[in-house]
Amino acid sequence: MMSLFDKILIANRGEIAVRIIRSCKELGIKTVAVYSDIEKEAMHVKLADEAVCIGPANSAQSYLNIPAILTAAEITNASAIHPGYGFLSEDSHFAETCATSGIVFIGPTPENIRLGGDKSQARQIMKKKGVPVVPGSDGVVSSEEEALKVAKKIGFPIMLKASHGGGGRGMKVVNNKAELKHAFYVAQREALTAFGNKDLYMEKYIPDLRHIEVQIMADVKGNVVHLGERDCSIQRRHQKLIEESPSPISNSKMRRKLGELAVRAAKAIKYKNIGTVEFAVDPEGNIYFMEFNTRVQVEHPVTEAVTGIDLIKEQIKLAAGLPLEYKQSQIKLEGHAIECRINAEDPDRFIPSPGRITFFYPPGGPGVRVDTAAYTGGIVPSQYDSLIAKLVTYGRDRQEAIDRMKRALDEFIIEGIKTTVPFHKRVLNDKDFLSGNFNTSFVDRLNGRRNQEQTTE
Amino acid sequence: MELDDLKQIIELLKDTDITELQLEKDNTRIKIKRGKFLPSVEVSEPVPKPEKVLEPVAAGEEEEQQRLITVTAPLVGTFYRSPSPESPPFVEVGDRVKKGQVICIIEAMKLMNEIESEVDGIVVRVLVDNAQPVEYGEPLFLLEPV
Repeated sequence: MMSLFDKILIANRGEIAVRIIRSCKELGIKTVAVYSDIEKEAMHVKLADEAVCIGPANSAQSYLNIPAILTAAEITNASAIHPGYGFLSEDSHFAETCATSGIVFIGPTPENIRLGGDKSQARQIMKKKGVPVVPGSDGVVSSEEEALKVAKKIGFPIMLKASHGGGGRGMKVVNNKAELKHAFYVAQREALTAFGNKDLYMEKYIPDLRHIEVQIMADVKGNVVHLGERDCSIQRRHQKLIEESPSPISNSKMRRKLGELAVRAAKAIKYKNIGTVEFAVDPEGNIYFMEFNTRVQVEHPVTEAVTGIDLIKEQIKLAAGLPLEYKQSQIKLEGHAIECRINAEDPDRFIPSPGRITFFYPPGGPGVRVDTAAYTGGIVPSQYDSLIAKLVTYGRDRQEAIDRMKRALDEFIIEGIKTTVPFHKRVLNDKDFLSGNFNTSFVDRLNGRRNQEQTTE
Repeated sequence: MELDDLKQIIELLKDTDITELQLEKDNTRIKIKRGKFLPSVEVSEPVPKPEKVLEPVAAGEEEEQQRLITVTAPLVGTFYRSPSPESPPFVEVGDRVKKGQVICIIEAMKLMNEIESEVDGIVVRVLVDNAQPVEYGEPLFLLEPV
């Protein structure tokens, strides 16, 4: 093995921290967990070789506390930090501070992260490089008058988006001129509160789109490959609930096109490390660039299942400066994988349901993978993300993956808290889902509330 | 009677079968009870002698520890007892400290964070060695409030 890292600190918690520890162990790399003082008994703390308490429950003082995390790396002699997803994973300042502290940030460059976070600028770059974008404004719209001008050109309905938004937040649909005045200022204020920046840009609103994203890997020399697509159209209020690879509507021709666009997008911003290019596909099959995600994603296991490639290992190797081990021709998608996000939430109203898990029995058997940090007696804290498990099934084809998912959902026992398992069972028995005929409005339709709540969180 | 005397007595009792001890000296009376919730004399049946005291901390010491204030690390970092390697420690066991007085330094990100006492008190114990890493919430000192 070439010179990888001796010890990696994982600046995250929950299932993704456990996921990263697993790949580190397989690579022979020691691990350091960090935790807030309410998570002494958390699974990532138990599994890591060392653990450092970095602050109180409030994530601003612990999992987002840059000085505490870098100090934890320093006192444990960790030479690299893996940020996981969420928390500091897309904080360019953190990536920069790691570099100046002599610690490798396992992810792309600070400049990549900055561009990925500036949605309107990323959009402009893609447009210039020939990656199609949804018709909309050229960069930021700074006034209601300017917004109206753009709206007249592209036609209502339009979507106002926070330039520094992300994770499905900071979007507002505007149906007509009358709504625009009010919506513009509300969206600006919301963007400022949620993301600390009030910049907005505009896109034509496409109601029945599919959310299809492409996983890419890029080395420091600028070689880029893609690992096919994931269909993440099963969403509620722009939060993904089910993802699969390949997309039910994709074929080798569409995959080649999506892949070429994703690689072009990555090269346009000189991207390094693993990342994801999100596209919107309209009912006519037109593909539009949406945004660049500069981190490992929650749904990465479906790509791992169909390609056989451990993305966390590749991410670590790329961060260490090693060249890509794969040529595009060596990457093949085989079979079909589906992921259901099991959240600690009421399955009807999606209200968080934190608390103690009194009994936890994950499913197993052929073609089943469960990524989780939950265990019997463990606590789901109210302070953090409600994702408690990712249930991934794999089959020779979509039908077998679905059959396995249904069987695995039936086996899953989680007591003491409410979870979204019953919701997933409903989806897995829906005829539109089974036929592959769905888009981002699916969940609203399933819940009989179509055309409602296409606005911000 | 000094606090250290008291600690010595407690230490002495640890490996014995003695469950209760009363002492009077210089107008101070102390009573130490060991073992948890041993039935008191009203019980008519013979009291079985505990074969072993299982609690790691004797009751008397527990009481003492409840009185003491634990100073914990407010941030993760490296613990230093003195402002520089050449200078003497900020505080030693037995020193009286005032609220707001610097009692140690925790270094994080090359910054020396001076940690102040939040109470007036006497340093009973220093729990971490100089130049050791500490995590958030780790106990650093025991202070007896005055």
